[in-house]
Amino acid sequence: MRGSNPILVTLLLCVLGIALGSLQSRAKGRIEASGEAESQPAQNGGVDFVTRAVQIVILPPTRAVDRALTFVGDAALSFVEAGKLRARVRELETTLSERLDRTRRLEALERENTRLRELQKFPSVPGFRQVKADVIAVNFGSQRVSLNVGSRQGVSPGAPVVVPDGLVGQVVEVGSSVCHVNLVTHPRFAVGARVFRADSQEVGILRGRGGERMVLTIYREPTGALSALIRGGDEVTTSGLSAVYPEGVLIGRVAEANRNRTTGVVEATVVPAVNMAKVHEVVVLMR
Amino acid sequence: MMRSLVAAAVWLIVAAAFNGALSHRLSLGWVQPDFLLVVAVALSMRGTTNRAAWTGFVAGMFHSALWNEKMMALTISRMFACIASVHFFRAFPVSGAGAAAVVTGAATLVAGILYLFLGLPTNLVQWLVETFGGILYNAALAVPVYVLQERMASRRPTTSL
Repeated sequence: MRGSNPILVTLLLCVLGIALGSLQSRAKGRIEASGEAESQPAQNGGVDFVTRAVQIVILPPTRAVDRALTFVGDAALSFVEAGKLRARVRELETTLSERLDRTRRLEALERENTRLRELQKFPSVPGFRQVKADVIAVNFGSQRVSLNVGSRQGVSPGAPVVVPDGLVGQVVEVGSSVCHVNLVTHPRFAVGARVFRADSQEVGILRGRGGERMVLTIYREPTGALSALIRGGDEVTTSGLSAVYPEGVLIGRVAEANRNRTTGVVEATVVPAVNMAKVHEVVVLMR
Repeated sequence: MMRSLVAAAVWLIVAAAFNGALSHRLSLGWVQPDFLLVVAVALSMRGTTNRAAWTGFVAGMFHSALWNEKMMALTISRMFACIASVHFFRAFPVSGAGAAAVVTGAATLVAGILYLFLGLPTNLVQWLVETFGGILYNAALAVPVYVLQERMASRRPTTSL
């Protein structure tokens, strides 16, 4: 090759190029004449043997480079997209957190709404005015709760505090806009109570004992069966024998009852009807 | 001799693969880089006319085989572009990457003009944009190709591309 005449080589290659071009055109012409689409992929019909031979050499690396570039492009795109996705996840997390907060607030409002609706159902008691109040503090250790109403709302000491489930306690101290209530389980709490049964209307004094228990004491002659007077499950309500409490407000249910055989005194353990832990809104009954 | 032929073949095959897979990804409108022409010119400009003729011819054949068209126009235009690059490079006062870029640009112009008459492109405006855009694109590509070839040649002093 080094010794060949350049003009001769060039001419020879020109002739070769023309021949190859003619070969290629003829192969393509055959395909067009046979009615096949001109836009066939290069490696299918219409390819002369020289072009096909060259394609065998150059198409595999071309495909390999194409795949590699596609992979790199996709990887780069994924990398770029990952940042966007991370930002989107953060945005969604923030939105979710806000929605959860809102849901919690809505649930709290729903619960409050339900309680207030139940309070609305509380029947009017003749001779008593109702003052609705929120529990603002609870101290189970001292069996007391504080309400957000006081003398400004007309609340005075001694007023009974109730919820639809029953008696909560009694107002013992009153500020201008706050008052403190001894719960029915408070050791200093006492109320005239009645066993509410069709065949027994025994009346006694019910006192708080701390914890979650009260004791109903009934003074009576030691005659007759105890179960005729009182038994477990009996409802205990206010007796209405004093001017402080209206009659018939549920206080609790009898857990067990015992009688002193000598004195005839009956002592019954009573469980409060109201679950103090779930009390949020109450009604103060004022004369 | 054999070694340099194999090296040239590998360069051209890689360039053909880049032409088929990468050129369209790097296109700026109608302007696409012509890796085959850039490599063929880089392989030719420091060699003999005969070698340049063969290199250009094979580059044109590869280019044509990629798309199965214009075999005559591509082989002849590339062949003369490579032959021209030998004379351009010899005429250049200094050799280097800058000279390679200018020679490649000039060879692209030669190839484009020959292709205009032999390949008869249907859209003259597109041909103008492709050719003159290609001159700049190929000239820019010639610099890294030249540097790479220089580096490879310096590692293997017995092999001349």
